[in-house]
Amino acid sequence: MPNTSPINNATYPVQKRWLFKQVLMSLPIFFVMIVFVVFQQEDAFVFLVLGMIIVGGGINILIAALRVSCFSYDLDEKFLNIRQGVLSKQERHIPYGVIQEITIGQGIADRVLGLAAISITNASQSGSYNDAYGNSTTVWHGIPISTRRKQSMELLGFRGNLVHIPGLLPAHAEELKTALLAKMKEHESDTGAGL
Amino acid sequence: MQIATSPTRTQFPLSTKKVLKKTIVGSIVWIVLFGFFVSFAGPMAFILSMDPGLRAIVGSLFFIITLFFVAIIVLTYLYQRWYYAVYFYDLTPDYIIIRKGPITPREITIPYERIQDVYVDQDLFDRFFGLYDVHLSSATVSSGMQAHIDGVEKAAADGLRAQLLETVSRKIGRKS
Repeated sequence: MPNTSPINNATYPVQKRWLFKQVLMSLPIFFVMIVFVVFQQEDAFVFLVLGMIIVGGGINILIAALRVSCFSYDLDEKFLNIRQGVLSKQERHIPYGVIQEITIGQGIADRVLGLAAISITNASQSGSYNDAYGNSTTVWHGIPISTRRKQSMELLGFRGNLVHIPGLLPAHAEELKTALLAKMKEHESDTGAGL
Repeated sequence: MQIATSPTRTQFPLSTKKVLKKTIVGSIVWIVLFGFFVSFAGPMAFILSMDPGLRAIVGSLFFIITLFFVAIIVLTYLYQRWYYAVYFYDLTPDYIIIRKGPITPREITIPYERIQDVYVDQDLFDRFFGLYDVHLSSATVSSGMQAHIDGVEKAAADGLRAQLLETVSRKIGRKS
């Protein structure tokens, strides 16, 4: 019943296991370090590297947990409201009429953990865009020219023209999409963008 | 393999030649490398055929590389067939839904009112196979890269374009 119960981060929460995705995604770096360890004879070096892996993974999980605890969203009558920010707080209110498209995606780590991410895009940027992983793509006449990888932590909240809510159960993502599409249809006449 | 069906895909089917095309495009680097290898290995084997020991090594090397090449082609083909099977697109009364990717699925939903343009194009390999790509984009950069239905034959491409344009203009017309 998406219309009767309120839709926010309490009804469709970011799952706890999304935190482990932050470790899974930096696994390639850890793997290189582990290979390094295997070929080392020096015990001190082995402990140093293993310590770095554990502390690094722990910090990643901690940061992700902080971001989740500071993140909230809800769908009210007229706006999609999102609040984020651990130290500096940001709030964003998007009228349903200007939402351009909704994407549901699952990466490899999402498939393993049984999660899905929903992306809501409006039309407020062009030239280059950032995806949920901070990969910035330079675009020339609609043709992607180059992709640069910036960070390994997935976006939670909004950046540029993208709102990204990761770590949802696939069924929840689907229901959220249905609810958003219904709101968009309701408010399609007050569009300020598009055609 | 279970084919993802929708009313739109049934009406405007994806061409099976798409699998062939994507297999060739996906393994073009390996095809070129293998061609290179064969054209060098032939003369080399001829030169080295005086020494039976070397000839055995070159022979087994040739066999292993050929096996590797065949495995890559087969795996690419199977992946593309899987991709083809799960490729889903549907023009519902209110939205366009496109979903692709067997391992990492991605589904994009665009309302007709947000469509900025519809265009049809063919790349070089599409010309060989007689395939068309139908692109539709909203005002975002990401939609231009994701929202396209590629690998349909001429009749289906024309049909898709006609239906898209008809629905879009009807939706906009009602609004103003």
